[in-house]
Amino acid sequence: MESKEYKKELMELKHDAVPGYKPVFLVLFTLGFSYMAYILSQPCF
Amino acid sequence: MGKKHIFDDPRNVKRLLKIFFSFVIILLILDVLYIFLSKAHVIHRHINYKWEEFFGFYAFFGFVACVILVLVSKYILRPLVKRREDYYDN
Amino acid sequence: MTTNILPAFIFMIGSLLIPFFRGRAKSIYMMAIPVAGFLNLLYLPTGDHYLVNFAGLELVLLHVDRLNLLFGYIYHIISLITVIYILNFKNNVEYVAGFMYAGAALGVVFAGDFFSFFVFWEMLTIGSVMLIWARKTKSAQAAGYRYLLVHVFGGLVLFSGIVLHFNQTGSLELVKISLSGISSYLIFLGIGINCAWPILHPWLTDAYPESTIGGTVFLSAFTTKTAVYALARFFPGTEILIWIGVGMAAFPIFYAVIENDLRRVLAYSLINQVGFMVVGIGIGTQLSINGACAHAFNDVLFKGLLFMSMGAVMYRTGKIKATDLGGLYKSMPWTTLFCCVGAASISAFPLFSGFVSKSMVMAAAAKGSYLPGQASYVIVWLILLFASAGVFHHAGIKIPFFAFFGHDAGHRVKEAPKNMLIAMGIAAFLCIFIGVYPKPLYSILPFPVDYHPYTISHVLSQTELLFFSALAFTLLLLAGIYPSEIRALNLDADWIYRKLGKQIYRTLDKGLNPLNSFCESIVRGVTTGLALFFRDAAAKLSLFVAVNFWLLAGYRDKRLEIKKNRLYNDISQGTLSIGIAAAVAVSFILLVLIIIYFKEA
Repeated sequence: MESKEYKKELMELKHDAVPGYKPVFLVLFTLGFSYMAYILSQPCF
Repeated sequence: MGKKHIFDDPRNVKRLLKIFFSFVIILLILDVLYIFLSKAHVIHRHINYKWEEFFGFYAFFGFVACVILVLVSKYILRPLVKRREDYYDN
Repeated sequence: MTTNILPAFIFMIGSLLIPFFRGRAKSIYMMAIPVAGFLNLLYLPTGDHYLVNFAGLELVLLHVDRLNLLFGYIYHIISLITVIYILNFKNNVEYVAGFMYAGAALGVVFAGDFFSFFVFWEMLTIGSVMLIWARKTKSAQAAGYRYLLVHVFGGLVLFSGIVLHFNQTGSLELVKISLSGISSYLIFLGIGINCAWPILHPWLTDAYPESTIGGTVFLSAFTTKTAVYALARFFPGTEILIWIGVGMAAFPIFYAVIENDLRRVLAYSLINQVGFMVVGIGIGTQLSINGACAHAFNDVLFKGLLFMSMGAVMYRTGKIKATDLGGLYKSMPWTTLFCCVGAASISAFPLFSGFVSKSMVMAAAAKGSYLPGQASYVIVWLILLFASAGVFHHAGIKIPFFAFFGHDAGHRVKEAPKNMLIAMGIAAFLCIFIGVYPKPLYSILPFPVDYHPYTISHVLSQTELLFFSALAFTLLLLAGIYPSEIRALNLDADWIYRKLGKQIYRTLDKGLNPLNSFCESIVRGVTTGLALFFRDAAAKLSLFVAVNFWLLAGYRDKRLEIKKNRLYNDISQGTLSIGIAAAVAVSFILLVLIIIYFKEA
């Protein structure tokens, strides 16, 4: 069923970072988080 | 391995990402449009709470919720509950 | 035309005949069972049938109304789909157990009194545990055993509740129960165990991923949904259910993010989906109960579809851990497609089935928060929204991504067998059909439906929610923050009985056993000491007396030693000359006589 060269089972499957995305993510998350915090602090009714 | 598949080519992955990111931006634009149209009473907007009237409420909620979900799972839950696979065996 | 055959009996008696068929006839026969059952269901008149007087109990074996017909329909549909799915396994145990299990679920749903309800409820456990054991691995055996113990316990709780209830009311009629008094709480808890409430849930995440490939599909459909039915029948509008449901919807998604076994990820998301239904029942309005039932209906289909696609992956590659999988879209394109349909449905994408049912519960929660004194429903709504985003994150993206895309694990396998593809295709078609055209589903819900899922605001807001959840996943992955998949075990509430229980046993073992052996050594020491003492007590006593005489008589050193040895040996071995023995005896008697004489005087 399985091809020979992949017999070994991984113990951990890491997700490598693609350079350049981390700052984008951090900026977006900080903005999004503060915006959500602001919205949810407003009255809902 | 023989056959080349669609995502073996990194250019296709990039293309998919581009399409996805543009979709995301289009959705935000649609949201602005929607707010204007409902303010002008062209279309009726059904809302449950005032929160939903803010620009991109659902978009930002989804984004922030998922990031928090992943961060909490990774940095709080996993260190607490992770054990070796044979933890219960001995 | 009407029929009145018990739906459960069609499945149960039908299942017993399966082993007698061979080859193609067997396949056809097995597919005919749910079809026949479904036809029977269509012509069942509503009301009570089979009123039986059993040991003084008024039993109603068949009660038909809109609520249980809905569950009856979906149970037949998923049985047919699952049977097609497992046709290539050729495992009679799985076939018979599967039908018994499905039949028991039908029995519970259509029972008209507490007694038959309970009997079928117990059969549910037996059928399902057979499906787990059918995997025949060591871990499946152990998990099945734990599963059995939990459900037997749950059954006992339910049973004692029913007995108390009967004792108080004198009736076995299936009525709405309000939470007051111990009997109602016992019934509530007994159902809750099958419903996988938080802390009571680990039987599900422990055992489902250990079952056979087809068994898991069966399991995902019946036990929890039957419990949802029971809650909808007995406890609609019970407020605490809202908070239980919120807990169910919220906590499993965190586990699902870090879980490596993809079928276990699905098991966690199963609890999450049932959480939505439990919230709906807890709110108790017509809209919310409709939503809960509709979502149960849809969940059976899309969760079955997801379990089937993961089962197909497991069937072909022999692997199910995210660390061992990836890149399968290259060799299993159809399975990939069907899995994505299931993922889109569970995530409630517009045009997929989850979209038309999950939002009913959300809308009911939002409406409820406007009632006076119910402002806390806002929190319910927010958590459900959080859970909706979260479910997309793990079931909607993680499952397809790690199995079929992502890192290529190099499996070059065949596409899933035809029967599996057909089964998945039917489920996928139904998911899309209901999503696009929800009217037929709405028409069979317990209450009349006045709900329109396809409004511009709903479609736009849901799409935004999901796309930005996907954005979060994409950015986290590309930024290298997404947690790596690790082969590991994640502790859950089953730790209480799998580790803590063992630990308690061990502590008792370590604490009590030394005490036990200490006591034993004391008793032993004393008795052996006494025994040793009495073995030569007579010899020692005589030596003690004789040595004094010999010393007076002038015996010393060697001769004294020789005399001592001889006397000791003679007494302890009983070789004292008869004269001396007689003399001792006589003098003893004389001594006694003298003592008696002086006493008398």
